[in-house]
Amino acid sequence: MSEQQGGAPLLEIADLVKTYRLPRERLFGPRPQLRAVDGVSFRVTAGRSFGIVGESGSGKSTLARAAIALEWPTSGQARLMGSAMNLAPRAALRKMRAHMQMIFQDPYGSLDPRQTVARIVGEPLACLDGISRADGAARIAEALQAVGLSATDARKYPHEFSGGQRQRVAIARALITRPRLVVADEPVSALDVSIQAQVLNLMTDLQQQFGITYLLISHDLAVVEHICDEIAVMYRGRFVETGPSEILLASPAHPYTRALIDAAPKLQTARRRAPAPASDSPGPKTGCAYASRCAFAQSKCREEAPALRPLVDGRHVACHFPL
Amino acid sequence: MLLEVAELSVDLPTSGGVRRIVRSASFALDHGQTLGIVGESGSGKTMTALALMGLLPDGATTSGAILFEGRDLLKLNEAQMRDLRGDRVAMIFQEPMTALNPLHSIGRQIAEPLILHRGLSNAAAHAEAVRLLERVGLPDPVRRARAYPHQLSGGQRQRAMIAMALGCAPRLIIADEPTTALDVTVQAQILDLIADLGAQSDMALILVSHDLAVIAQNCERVLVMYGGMAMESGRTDDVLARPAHPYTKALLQARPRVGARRGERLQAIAGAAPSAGAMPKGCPFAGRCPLTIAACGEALPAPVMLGGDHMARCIRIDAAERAA
Amino acid sequence: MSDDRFFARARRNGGFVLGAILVAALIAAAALSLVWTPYPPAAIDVPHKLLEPSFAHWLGTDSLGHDVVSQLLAGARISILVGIIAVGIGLVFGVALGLVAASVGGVVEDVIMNLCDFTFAFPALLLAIMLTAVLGAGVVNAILAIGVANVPIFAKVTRALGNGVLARDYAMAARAAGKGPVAIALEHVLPNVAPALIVQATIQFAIAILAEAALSYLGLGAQPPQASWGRMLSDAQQFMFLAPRLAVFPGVAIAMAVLGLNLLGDGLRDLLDPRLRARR
Repeated sequence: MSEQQGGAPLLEIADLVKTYRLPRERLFGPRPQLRAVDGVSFRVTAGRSFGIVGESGSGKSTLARAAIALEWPTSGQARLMGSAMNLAPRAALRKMRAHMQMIFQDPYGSLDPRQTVARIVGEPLACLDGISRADGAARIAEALQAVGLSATDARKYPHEFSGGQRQRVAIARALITRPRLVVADEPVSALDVSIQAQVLNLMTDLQQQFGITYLLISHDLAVVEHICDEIAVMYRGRFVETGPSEILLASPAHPYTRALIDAAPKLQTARRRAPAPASDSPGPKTGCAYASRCAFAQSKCREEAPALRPLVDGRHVACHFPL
Repeated sequence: MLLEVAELSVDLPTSGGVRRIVRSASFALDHGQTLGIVGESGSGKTMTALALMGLLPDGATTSGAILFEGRDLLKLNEAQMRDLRGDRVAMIFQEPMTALNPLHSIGRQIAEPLILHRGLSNAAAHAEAVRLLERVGLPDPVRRARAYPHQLSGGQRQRAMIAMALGCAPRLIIADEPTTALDVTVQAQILDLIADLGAQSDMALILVSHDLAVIAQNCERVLVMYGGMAMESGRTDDVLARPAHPYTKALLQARPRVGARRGERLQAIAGAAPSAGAMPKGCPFAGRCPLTIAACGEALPAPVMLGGDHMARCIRIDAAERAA
Repeated sequence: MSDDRFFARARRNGGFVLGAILVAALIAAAALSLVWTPYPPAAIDVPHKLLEPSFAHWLGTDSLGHDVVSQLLAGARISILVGIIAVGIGLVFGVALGLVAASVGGVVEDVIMNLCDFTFAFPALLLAIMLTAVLGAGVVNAILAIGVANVPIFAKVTRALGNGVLARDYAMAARAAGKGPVAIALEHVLPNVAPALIVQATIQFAIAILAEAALSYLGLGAQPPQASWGRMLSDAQQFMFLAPRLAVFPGVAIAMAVLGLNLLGDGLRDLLDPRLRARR
């Protein structure tokens, strides 16, 4: 990951940990903890979109929300353009929010059904000071046009739109403060295939037009590769492999990355058989979290957790025996 | 033929009047064959599957014929249909958590159809349930049979659903988006399992999915639905290699591919699918289709045979061929 | 959604229409009694007591010669007054508590909800008896007691639905936009729980009317010479065998008002359900 010229990276996550307390198993027993994100560090430099790939329960959505201060990390930091968000006073954090916005997965759940599109799209503006009503209306119209809707749509309600159009409304809301970073959590996985392409094209257009850098969360490798320059593969709260998209997908070094690539359905009739069923056990306390599912696991893997270490081609991998 | 569906149409009453959700769909399936029905939301694929099970929502009316083992399912009454369901035809649903009863143990739910249809005793049915759980690859089946749905992971629950469907050795299994709620790595295992079980016992399989890739890798034949209409069907190899319908072509090109150049423009299909309320009388893809002419909107296009059982319903196939 | 579609669907909902007619009749009776009643409702006319229904007294007179029609009309006023104020108290305090509980969460939520459970343990009637013991009998105290009993009901409904709204992505989007918890509660949570609260309010309105009747029947509500359906029932008790009609008329009035409000509430529940309203 190259250092950005002259200053801090757009987003820097430093050793971030997020644990949740689960309900007690016994009346007076201790409350067990779930480490959703278990010590993750990465940098997003401006202009190089970053993708996080993982399955459900990998902690990728928690990490995304912590990255833009919608969750407070248990320890570690998230820094936007050099300033730590969890240390910022409330007013300062509100100002910082103009630089980072979010797109959600479900275009039905992410728009308040009782508000007009103008109010929904204008919501982030309403939180900024010094924007007149006329300016606001003009920017709402501008944002709607940028996502391919018309300015007259501002008066409508969400239920008057199809799923794809709703996602455009959600994208317009994320654009309106002219943010530098947009976190997109599975932005197309709730959409039909023919609509997915429209939204992905729109996202790449906006990237070029407005200089947006995405932090994209997805389970779909093809979608992540389409948008992102860097990819991190996440498993049980940790990054197991990070690196430039082409290299990582063309020659994965971590067995889990390999398994994800192989398992993704492809448009061809013949198919490589899936590996033997994974055990669903929570995994051993020591060693690599993937060891119980890994076809290449050796005794060292069960004893010692591998750290994320650099490979020659700019990648990092957390595996004792990279492929 | 095990199953022959001829000119099946389904009408559903909605708040805005009666809507045609499936428009004269025809297809056939023999013992041990696999058919994939692919389509977007609102394409009518799920209603087609539910019609085969006799599980259409209240008030739905049907026309055409569904011949299963020589009997027209549309002419059976509810009691006759109930005898068939779970016995000769079984279904696997998308979300096993909602399809399983949270208050009954897995074993009891698998045993139930065995008692009902096969007349097994409680003990025999339970032993059979354990055997079925073993067959679908659940480790420690005796303990799993005693477990309740919430104690299993998503993949395990889907395996239990499959065990339940297998119980009476049905001739036809209909799986409606069986892996959509699952992770990619688990999805591949479940699809393998379904394919293996089908091959072992000569069961026919209908796999319903929004994902053409899932269908491509698991079904010999494919039926592409859109706007309630079967747009194209045939052997999966043929349809993938030589897609004839402009919609199928667009669908194949719209997906981002691993290994493609980043930021490359995808071949998006403009516009949105017609809603069931505003279904045109002609081809449902007219308007979104780059080859649309006036005649497309006037009447439902007739099936065009393209060699073998490769069929496409499009009056512009020649133009589509030239454009390719 | 446009209003004409709301009314078009409302007209097809038979229960809603009947409920609306009954509630409209209740309001009309109360309004009419402000400007006109056949006789002054409080006028005692002992020589003409316990008259059978006739042209002069459409529903007869009671044991003190009050005109029953006049009393029923004036009684509607009390019923509406009780309903509006008691539900109003419940809505204002209950919704506020519910919103705070849902938005703040944690210990605050636990304390508020435990307080609600505590209040729940006392039925409105018991609460009213305690209040009356401290403050003396009267309509105002009855209304207060019914209102206080309403607070935890609205607080619970608001909290439960509010937590559902706060779990939606649009509440998360509002936080990402920089909205504070108060703004989110007022702009997103309140409008989205409002339909359910309206439905609950009509049902609580009906329960308030019943409760006032019960309190007045026990002598803890309206005091003579104030007309109230509950008090009419209570007075009629002594003449059950002589003039059963005196119990029947206010009884029917109470039943019709409660039925109307419940039908209206059920109808609103259907009509305001977004799943039925906005087709996806």
